Amino acid sequence: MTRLVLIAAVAAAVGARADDTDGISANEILLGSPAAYRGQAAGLGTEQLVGSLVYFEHINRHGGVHGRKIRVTAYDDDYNPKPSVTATLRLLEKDKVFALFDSVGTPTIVELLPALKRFESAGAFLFGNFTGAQPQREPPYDKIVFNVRASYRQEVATAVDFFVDKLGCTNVCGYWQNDAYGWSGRDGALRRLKARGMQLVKDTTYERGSLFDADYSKQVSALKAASCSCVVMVGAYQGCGGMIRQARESGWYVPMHNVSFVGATQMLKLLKEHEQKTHKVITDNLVNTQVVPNFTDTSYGIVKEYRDLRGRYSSIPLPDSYKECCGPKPETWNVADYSFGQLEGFINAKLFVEILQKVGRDLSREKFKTLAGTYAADLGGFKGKYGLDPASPEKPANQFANQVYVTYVKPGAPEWLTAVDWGQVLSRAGK
Amino acid sequence: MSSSAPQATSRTGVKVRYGGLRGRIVALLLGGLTVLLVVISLLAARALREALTKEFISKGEAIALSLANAAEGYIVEGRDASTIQGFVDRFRDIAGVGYVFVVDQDNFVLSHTFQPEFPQGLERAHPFQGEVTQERYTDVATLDVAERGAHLDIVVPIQQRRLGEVHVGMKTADIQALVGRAVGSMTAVALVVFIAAAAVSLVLVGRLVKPVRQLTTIAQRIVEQGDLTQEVAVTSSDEIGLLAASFGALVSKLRTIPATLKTAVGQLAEVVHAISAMTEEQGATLSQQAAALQQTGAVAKEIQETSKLAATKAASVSEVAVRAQNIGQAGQRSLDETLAGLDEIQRHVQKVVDRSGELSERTGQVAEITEAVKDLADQSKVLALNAAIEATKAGEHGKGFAVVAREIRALATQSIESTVRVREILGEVEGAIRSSVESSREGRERVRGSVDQVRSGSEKVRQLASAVDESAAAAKQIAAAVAQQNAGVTQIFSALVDLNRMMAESVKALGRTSEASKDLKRVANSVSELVSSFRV
Repeated sequence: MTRLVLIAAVAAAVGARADDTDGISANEILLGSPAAYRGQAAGLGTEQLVGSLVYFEHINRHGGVHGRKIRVTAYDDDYNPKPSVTATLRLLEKDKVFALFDSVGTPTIVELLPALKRFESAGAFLFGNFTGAQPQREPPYDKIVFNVRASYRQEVATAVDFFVDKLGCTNVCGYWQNDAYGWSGRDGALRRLKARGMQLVKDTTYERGSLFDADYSKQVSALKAASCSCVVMVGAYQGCGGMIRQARESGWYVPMHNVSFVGATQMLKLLKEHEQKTHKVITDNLVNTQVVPNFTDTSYGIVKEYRDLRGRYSSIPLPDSYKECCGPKPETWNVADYSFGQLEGFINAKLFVEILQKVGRDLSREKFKTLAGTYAADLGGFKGKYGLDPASPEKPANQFANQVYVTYVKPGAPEWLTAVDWGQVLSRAGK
Repeated sequence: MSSSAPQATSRTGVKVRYGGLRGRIVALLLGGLTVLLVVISLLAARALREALTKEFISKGEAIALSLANAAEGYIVEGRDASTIQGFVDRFRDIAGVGYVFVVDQDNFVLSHTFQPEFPQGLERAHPFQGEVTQERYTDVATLDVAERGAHLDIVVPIQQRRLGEVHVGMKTADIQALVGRAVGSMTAVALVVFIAAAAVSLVLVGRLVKPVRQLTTIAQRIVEQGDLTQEVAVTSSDEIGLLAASFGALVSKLRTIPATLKTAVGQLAEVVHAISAMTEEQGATLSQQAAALQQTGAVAKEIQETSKLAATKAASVSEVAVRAQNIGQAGQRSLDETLAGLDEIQRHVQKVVDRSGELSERTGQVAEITEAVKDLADQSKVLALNAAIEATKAGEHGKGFAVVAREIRALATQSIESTVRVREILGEVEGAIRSSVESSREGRERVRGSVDQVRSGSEKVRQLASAVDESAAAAKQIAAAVAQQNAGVTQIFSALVDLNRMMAESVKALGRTSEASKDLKRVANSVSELVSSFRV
């Protein structure tokens, strides 16, 4: 015992080494969020963070988890790889967070992972991330990342199946953000098409960071020229929204799909604004796969809980660290009232807290990871399980949920709807 | 730049072209500099392009090799394409990288950086050909990619192409841009250097040339106005300073030359003048000499003739001299006798003179007595007068007395008249005596003169005799001398001929001397003129 105290004292004195109990104090658990909080991808990070903070606020107000409140330090990475590494190292080395939480993006996570991997021996890990890419689902990072949501591969496979089986699409084409994220989707599409004995007829790309008003005519022409009958899109809401706008304006109304990461709410907002300006409908024949239930669908207990708490804590403050990056009034939440992103953050927080509660007061990273490794739960209709599932071989062991939800926009409707009848989706396709 | 400067023409008639020495040096300097800069720029641009091309290829190879290495594992493991794309993304923003793409063994594009789409056919444009060896594991080709221009496509096979290839395209336009930028900055620097060099060289060369210009001005003024009063200020310590100093020394040296020349010319003129005067004199003298010589010739001939005559006459003179000797001795004797007679006469005359003197004394004494008589007579006359006057006063009583007084007075007057007659006779006697003394004195003098004459005559006769003796001897000597003279005269003749010839030559030489002295005079005059054209 004396020896342990001594070691602890030395470790405290040295203070530099990451430790299994980093981020845990008597009454607080510190989490670190490296994500995009500003710039054109600001919506992605902020929406998810707000969703998580709403749940943590709820828990903290009710005594925390075993007497410990949960606090989040958030650093902006501008949705770019290098700042992502900087933020990660700062959180792990300096702030000594218990875990990384709610990261955003594929190009960022592929850089973040090797940085995190270095702290594996100290038990460091990432819980919840707003990306469905493969790297964090595969070795060598599968032991240090706990994914909550389904992967892009699953989302794209669902979309391909949906296009081919439900909409009779023969010429499946692609449109990718030209980076690891886009390629993750492309990889998923190629695999699914290959499995179905089909080929990707044509694919085009756009530069990460392209804006809604940019020119996408080349991409539209290339796909049109290849006689594409449906387009799988993997990108961000500005680049994909812009592509949809330009395609529709050129009179091309083929079904177009986006994955969860696109920021469906923000994209729809842009498209609707454009519709109002031009008095021309451009929002039909759009399909968006989601990995959480539709945030409007209160038949899900989790959705109901989210909406309740979101309403209750609508003005909780953002973390102090958020001020570093993002403006003079961090108290103001520049986010939607409700969104898929917030719901995903909310689910991440809820799952994390549940596991924490199961671990108990005597907390350490290893204890958390051990428990989480096989953790199964039904979070108000959002079911999942860590560990391999023979029923769904596509689900990696370090991924909790498997669900992919197909949503669409009903002309005139203000929000995405969960498709029940596929026929609802098609308004003009094939006409 | 110098072409804008007006063409100056110096008064020496030499055209100063292209801004003069300064302009030319500066133009030369700048021209050289321009050529140097251009050449350096071109060489540097070429070297840079080559180096950059190598560098780009090497960079592309590094990226491709690294990607191939990473991709190999992912492909073998069948990992998600985003892992490869993650790697690809790391390299796409590296300077010079135009594109990166990875194909599998069937040339299917696994990953690429193109947008909006992968250029058609690029995946087959440059496959790795042949076997991979230790030495050859990459290949480079220049590909013209649609809408993106030329690229150096570096291909690296993955697992000996069994898993595919990595292609990295390096933008040649970037090389060009880098080279362009480098050349641009070099040009800018060169321009600055050029302008700085122009300014500095203008100032420096101007400073360098200024003393030369000053020297030129000074030299021109010396040439045009002969102004040697100018001072040469030396400011620089280089070769031009040295030149200026030497020039200054030259000018001050030059300053002394006209003065020296002036003196020399003055002296020369004097000398020339003297020479010409002398020449004239010599000419005159020579002609006189020539005339004299001719006369001398004639005279010499006469002398010859005369000396012959003299020889004959000398013999007869000798005879006559002997005869004259004899006559002289006889004359001597008669003269001595005459002299003795004359001495006797002299003594007699002396006696007459002495007696005459005594007579004269006696006559003097009579004259004195007569004088005393006369005085008594005068006084008697006055008394007679006074007695007459008293007698008048005494009236009839004095009548008798008055007759006596009158008689006395008549007697006194007769006495006075007698004394006057005596004095006259005495005067005549005295005159006779005096003339007699005078005559005897003259006689004495005459005798004395005769004695002297006889004595000198005797002397002369004696001298004549000895002279005759001498003449005789001389006549003999003359005869001998005449003979010698004859021979000498003949020699004189031949000498005269020589002399004549020499005289002619002298005259001729003198003529030349005269000409030369005239030339000399002309030279002296022009030197003098020249000298007077300098101001010192």
